[in-house]
Amino acid sequence: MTDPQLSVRGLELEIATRRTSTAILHGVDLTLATGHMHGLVGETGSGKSMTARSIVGLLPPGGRVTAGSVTFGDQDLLAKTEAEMREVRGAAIGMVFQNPRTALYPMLNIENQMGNVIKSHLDLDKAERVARIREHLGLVGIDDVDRVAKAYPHELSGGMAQRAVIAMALVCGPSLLVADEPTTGLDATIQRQILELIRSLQKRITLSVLIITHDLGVVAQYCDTLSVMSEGRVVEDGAVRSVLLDPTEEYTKRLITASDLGYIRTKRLAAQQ
Amino acid sequence: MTNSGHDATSCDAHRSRDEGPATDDDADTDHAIIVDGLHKTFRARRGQAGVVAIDDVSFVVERGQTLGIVGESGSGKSTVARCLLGLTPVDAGSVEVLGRSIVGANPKQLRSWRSEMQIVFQEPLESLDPRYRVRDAIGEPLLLHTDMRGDVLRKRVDELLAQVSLATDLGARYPHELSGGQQQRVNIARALATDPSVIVLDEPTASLDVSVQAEVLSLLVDLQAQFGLTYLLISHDLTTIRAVADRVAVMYLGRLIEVGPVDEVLTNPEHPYTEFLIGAELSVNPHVKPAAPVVQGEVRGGERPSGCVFAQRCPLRMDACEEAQPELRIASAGHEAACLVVGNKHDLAGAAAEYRLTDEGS
Amino acid sequence: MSRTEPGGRRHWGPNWLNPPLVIGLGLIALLAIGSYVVPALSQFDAEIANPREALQPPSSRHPFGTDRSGLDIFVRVFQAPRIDLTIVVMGVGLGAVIGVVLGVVTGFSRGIPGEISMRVADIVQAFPLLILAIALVSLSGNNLTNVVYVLAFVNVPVFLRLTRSRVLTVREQRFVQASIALGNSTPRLVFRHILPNSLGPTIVQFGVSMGYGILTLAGLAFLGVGVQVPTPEWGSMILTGASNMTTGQWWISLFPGLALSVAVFAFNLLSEGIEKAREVGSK
Repeated sequence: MTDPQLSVRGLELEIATRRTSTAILHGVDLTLATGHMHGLVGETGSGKSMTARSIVGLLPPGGRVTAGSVTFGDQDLLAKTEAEMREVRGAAIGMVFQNPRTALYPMLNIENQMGNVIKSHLDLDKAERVARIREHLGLVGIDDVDRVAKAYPHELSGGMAQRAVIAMALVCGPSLLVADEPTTGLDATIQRQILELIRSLQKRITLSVLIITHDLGVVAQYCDTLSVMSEGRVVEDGAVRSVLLDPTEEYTKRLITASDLGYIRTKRLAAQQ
Repeated sequence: MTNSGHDATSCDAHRSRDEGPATDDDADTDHAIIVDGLHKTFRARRGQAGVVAIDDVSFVVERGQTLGIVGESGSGKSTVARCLLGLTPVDAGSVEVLGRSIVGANPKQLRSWRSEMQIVFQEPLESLDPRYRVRDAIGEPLLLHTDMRGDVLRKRVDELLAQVSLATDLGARYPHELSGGQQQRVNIARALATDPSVIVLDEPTASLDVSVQAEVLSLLVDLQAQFGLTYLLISHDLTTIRAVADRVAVMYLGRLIEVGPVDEVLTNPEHPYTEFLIGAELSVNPHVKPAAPVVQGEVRGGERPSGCVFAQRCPLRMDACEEAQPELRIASAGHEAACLVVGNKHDLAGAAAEYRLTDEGS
Repeated sequence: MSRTEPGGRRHWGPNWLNPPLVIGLGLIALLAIGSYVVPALSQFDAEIANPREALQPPSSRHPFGTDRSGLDIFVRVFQAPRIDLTIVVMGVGLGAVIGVVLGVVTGFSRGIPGEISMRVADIVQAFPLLILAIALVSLSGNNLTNVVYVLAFVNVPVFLRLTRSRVLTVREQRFVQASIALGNSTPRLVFRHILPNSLGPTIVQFGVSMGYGILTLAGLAFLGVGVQVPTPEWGSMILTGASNMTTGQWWISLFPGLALSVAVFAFNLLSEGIEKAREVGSK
């Protein structure tokens, strides 16, 4: 077994306001193997987004990691300065967020935005940049690359915008993609398109993916491993097959039942007898 | 008391308009909701094109049953919900709820009918006047439609709070002090206040956490059994529909493209779009793989096709599909779909594998 | 303690005793009461001239000094609110009521009336205030009632605009649609749901407009509009004493000026306090 792509150990996070300090994460452990997709799943307030943000160093004001380690390959991410992290983000770790149209800068077209990302990490001349941008837009399944490259975010549909965001996240060749609720808010059929796209990208360019979601179905169908989080702690983790088919924790079981809703159907049919 | 919806009566009752009125035997009084030939287009405004939201939609819902309307963005399902209770005016067609014609109804009469037909919206907090305490919000319909006042009214409000499993002391709170699930329960209690027979649920759990969603849906199912309520459930989520609905209607770009008993439609879908929709449902069981391939392209605005609304994205597309909108064809008892391949075996997965969207890569 | 009829009424509880409201209301009350108590207790009359004691600086006999006519400024400053407060409350109040009603009507109904009303409001607001006031008063007579109408007139556009923009937002909110779905008639919808949720900015504006109203009244008085000599009114007192500043009699303008500032401040506090009391949590 190769070294894990990403390893988080004992992560503790607190958010300090003027008056108080609230502990958000209480010792989170997480392992993402190279080339795998790991699902970080939980409900609102579970701490899943905060974990992701701690990994890439994008903490909210007042946020402070108080303990633990985040190891990416052979690098200790928590030890890096902000300047060093800026180099990591985009180049080594790509990020995709919810709501693609708001994640994109509204005043520039796609080509220029991606161009800016490339300029800050790679040393390419204009022709190379343009070629790279088009290549990546094609990579994410966009047929009419010319139209999309020249388009502004508000001119793109939800699914198309999310593809562009993914292209932008990958354009500098990162080995890890962190996706925070990338398909929430998109139609179910489009969601499936995006997830299939991510899976095919994983195979084509050896990408490890950390996906944060509240949707257990997404994790079940597309992830290799998962962590179930609740109230700042990892409740259960492991291979998707073992955790979801044979959960040990009560919380996990409840989440599975609530996602499946089978018991409600049973109840309804029984009431109709 | 409720019938399962599989038998011929419900199928006969939903007939195409050409066939004329149903026979006297078809107890029309069994139908809580009858929608016929509904049309609604939103006028073009500055910067935006006009949108056809509903295009010739017809369906019925029997008393005590739940019809789930499922669709994605642009399907028109939410517009149907608004038109049903006269909250949005329709351009053409008829809507009958509990035997009363909603379209063109006298406003005062319509208002009085509202005691029997209610709606719960998607946004739990925004549906409540922020300046009204919970008990005032729940009590408002009683003020509007009954002569209950004072202690009698207060008791009834407490009763309603109990029915939705909320502690009575929450009555004194303001909406923003409650959690999303509690807020939605307040909305449900308010909807139940005047003992309605019909409740429209427009994505009632979409903005709630997963476990809270399950609780609220479970509550709705219990209430239906207890009070014999008729539900029209709008949802984008097939899992919810499967759990709560007896019959399902699938909408795409304003057209009703398939309708039938829930288990039948979801197990033996006739329309390619329905198949894709089912394929997009992701099971929490890792061994259960999606049932259909991935659909190409996205719902797009712009000119409405003259033929089938889904033809542009459909792997099974034939020339005939683009000539005219297919009518609903009977596939089996109570199950209809608007597609030319209804009744013929088709291999969607095979066709989709070779299919590639040829026009502008949207 | 709770009311038997649900209707979104608030309890008169702790929220109403917040500092801005208490202080603001207190100051205004003091000014109002003082306008009757002080003259009653004083040996001097606010309006009867006493030339032998003209232009005296502040002393124990005349705490605020005397003006050119020998009138005791202390008494006059405290009696002025009879005019300043009453006229301004009536004028701004009338303007606010009309403005709010028009704002709700034009905000709620769709289409042309809204646009027309906004353009008319633009025109009224574009006029220099004092010229407008003088024009109106010269047309219909120089008396205090007309001053009230002038104040009302110039305040209508402000309240109309404010209320209308709030109503435009509120009417799109989900609870409005929910209220219709419950069976509310349009009048009830407007009075019970839309109006209460649209009044917030208006109430704060009222305090601010009161302050401006007092200043407007002062400006008008300077031009001889409305208030006549020797009726005590802060504005006219300030402005008649202005010329005396250069000759060293600083007290004639200063004390009415201070009083005016206190009044404006008190109204601002009061409206802040009322809004604080009305607000329902995080909205």
